[in-house]
Amino acid sequence: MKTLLFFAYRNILRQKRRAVLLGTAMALGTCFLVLASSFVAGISQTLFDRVMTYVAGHTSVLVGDRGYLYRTALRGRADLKERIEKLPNVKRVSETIGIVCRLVGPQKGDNGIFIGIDLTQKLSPAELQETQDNFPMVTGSFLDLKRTDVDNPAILAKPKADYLGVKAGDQLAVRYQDSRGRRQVTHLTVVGLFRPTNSFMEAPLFVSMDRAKILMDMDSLDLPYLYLTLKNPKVNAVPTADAIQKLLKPRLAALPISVVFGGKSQAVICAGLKSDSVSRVRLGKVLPLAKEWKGNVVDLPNSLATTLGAKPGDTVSVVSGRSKAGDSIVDRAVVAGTWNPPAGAEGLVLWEEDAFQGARSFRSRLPGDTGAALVQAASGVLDSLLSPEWTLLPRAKSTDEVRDQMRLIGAREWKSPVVAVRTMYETGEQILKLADALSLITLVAVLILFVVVLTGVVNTLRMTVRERTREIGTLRSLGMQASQVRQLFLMETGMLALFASLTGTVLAGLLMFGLSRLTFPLEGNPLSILLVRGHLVFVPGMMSTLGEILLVVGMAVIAAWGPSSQASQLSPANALRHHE
Amino acid sequence: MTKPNSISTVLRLVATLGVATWAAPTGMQILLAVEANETMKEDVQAKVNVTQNRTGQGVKVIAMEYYRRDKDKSFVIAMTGPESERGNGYLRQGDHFWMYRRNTRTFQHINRDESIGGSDAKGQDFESRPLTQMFAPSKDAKGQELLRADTVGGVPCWRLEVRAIVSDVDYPKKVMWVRQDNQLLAKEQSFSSSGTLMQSGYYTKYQPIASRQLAMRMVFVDEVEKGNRSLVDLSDVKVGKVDPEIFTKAWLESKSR
Repeated sequence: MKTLLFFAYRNILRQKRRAVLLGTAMALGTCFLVLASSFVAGISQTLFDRVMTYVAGHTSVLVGDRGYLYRTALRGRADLKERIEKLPNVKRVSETIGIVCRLVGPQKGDNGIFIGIDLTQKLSPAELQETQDNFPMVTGSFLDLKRTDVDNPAILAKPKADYLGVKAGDQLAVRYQDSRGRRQVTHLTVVGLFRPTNSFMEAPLFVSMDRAKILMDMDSLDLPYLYLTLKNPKVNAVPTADAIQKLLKPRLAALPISVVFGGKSQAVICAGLKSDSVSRVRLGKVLPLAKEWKGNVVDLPNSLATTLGAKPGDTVSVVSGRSKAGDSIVDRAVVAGTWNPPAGAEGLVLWEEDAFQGARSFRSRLPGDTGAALVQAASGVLDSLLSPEWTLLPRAKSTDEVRDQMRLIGAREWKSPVVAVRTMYETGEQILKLADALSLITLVAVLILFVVVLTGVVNTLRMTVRERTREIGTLRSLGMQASQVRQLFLMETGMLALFASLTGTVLAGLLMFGLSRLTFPLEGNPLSILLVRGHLVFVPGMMSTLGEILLVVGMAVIAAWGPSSQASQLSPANALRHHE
Repeated sequence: MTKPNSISTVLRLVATLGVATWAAPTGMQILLAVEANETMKEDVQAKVNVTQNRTGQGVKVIAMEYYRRDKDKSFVIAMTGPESERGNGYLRQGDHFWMYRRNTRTFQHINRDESIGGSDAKGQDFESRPLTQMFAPSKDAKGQELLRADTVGGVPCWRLEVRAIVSDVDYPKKVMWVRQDNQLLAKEQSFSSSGTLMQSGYYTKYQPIASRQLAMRMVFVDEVEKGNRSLVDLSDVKVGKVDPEIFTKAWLESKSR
């Protein structure tokens, strides 16, 4: 073996010109292969770790109050965030508020996106750098959003600020719809301007999450959208979403209320009863009602109706607590009927779901587990007609399914709060398709290049065999076996391929270093989303590079197999007679 | 969140009489009087023109036919102008709210919060909801209603400040100027939670229809984006049963042809 290796090495040195030419071709092929794979990995990292994290999260939990599409709050359930944070593979759970708004400056108005940023999160140096990469500041810093010496500090993109006619220190009006659907206007103070790294980044206007929640009429107990950053997102996004789906299984909702009629008041527990047309038909088979179950209606337990002296058709007042503003939440509801609750649910009042969930949403604090057992006891009779704490939508399998679910939310198909768990595969399908398309294009280009290089290798080896036929004859005459001749040629090729691919890898490293230092313009550049601060991103991997070197060597050896076998099959006499 | 009943109807009548005869009515009486004038017991149809003037974007005239049937919370809006909107429409039936697009011939469920025909108006603006179920008179630190005499264009009015008593209303605070002679709303200012004036509305022309005074011309001035204003004109108002066929998808679709 050692002799063969020595011969192979000697042969490479003996035929320097051919070895250099063939080696250069293989080195260039390896170089492009490593370069392309690192570029694709860079794109993938940019899209997954930078774009997807901000646009949709690797996995996300979306919420809608009372089934309204744009009221992105789940009242009183901020605790769910902590439970999700404890799941495996979760690097970070970010609260997210992002709503379309109208920015009004002294010169002009323009549409924008009002975004809350959680400044309490501890970022690693890499994450901090990533944030700085995404939002390079022209004036101020993101920490200025914590300032208390100005009203509602905000940061926006420099081009947007120029268009609106504001600069750092100026005030800007922002008009939006809060989490309760009310039209609001707030004056913000511009404390920082950033240079957008791509065209998508011109729209956002950032305020601190605390401030955003106040402006949106949410408090620390309310849960906005959650975007999750995961370890190894490609693998963990779906399992994590499935785990969250199990975690978020809702219970039946209960609400302590007081029913007032005829000067009498009685404190009771109340459950919501669905009132869509399908549920109304089902309800009619379970409960005898004197009036149609539609609009703001209640069904009183017989005992309560007797105590209050209320009968079907009467209007009772339902007092369901206090709002955040301190007002009593009082509704007037028509008694649609009376019922006899099952054991364990005695005294349970049934209230039309929309009004019931409205009262829950408007309460300053939700009652926790109070009354939950009572409602659960009624579920044996009323089954799925009772209103849940929230409606957990089934996991969507595609963007089309997500679209269908959004349409149904828009139609207020569900009157309870709505919760949906999504992954980037559904919400960011377009971005992922872009990554896949770029990977495919790169792969095809590299394969074409490689086929060309390998064709050159095969041709060169065939020429070598032809030129060294007499030498093969001499070696065979001296006792070298046919298999050893084949091994000699394969070793020669393999050794050359190894040296060439190592050289190509070094060359690729130098090229990556050089290319990543070039700065590309961002404005008007459709590929700016793939750049970081105007630079290309390459992510070479140790294992992938090793694999590519092995691939090049392996393919070169395979390509050399044919000519090597051809050389080994020559008879010594014929080989020695060979004359060019 | 609640429904009008016979008691509130009686109260409204008393309030209307009260406002007409008492020198200084209470805030609730004024609210009930305005509400009584706004409440339509029968179906309504009208042609509506919204002339929208936005800074830097010029004038846009949005024309529509509007049909409303309160007994089942239904309404239909058929867009008749501008050309880009003509044939499009909106249908509300109970909890369902659809948008029809002429180009694609499709109905799409939309949210009550969405804009109508590219205007500032939202779907919920076309719904009827009793005023007193949304607002109550505001009071000062001494518990006195924020109500005083004032004038609008020289006409004596009551200036009443009201606050929302439910959370899902457009504006949490309003100031209303109600004419002292006929209890008609003359002017209204709408405020955000932070107390910023967002919109002023002027009700400049009324017409007696079905024993009520219907506002036929309203001007809404955007107080945030100065220069933006919308002029709403109603015409061909008819009160009485509207053909049930109109409150269907088929009618809206046929209207676009």
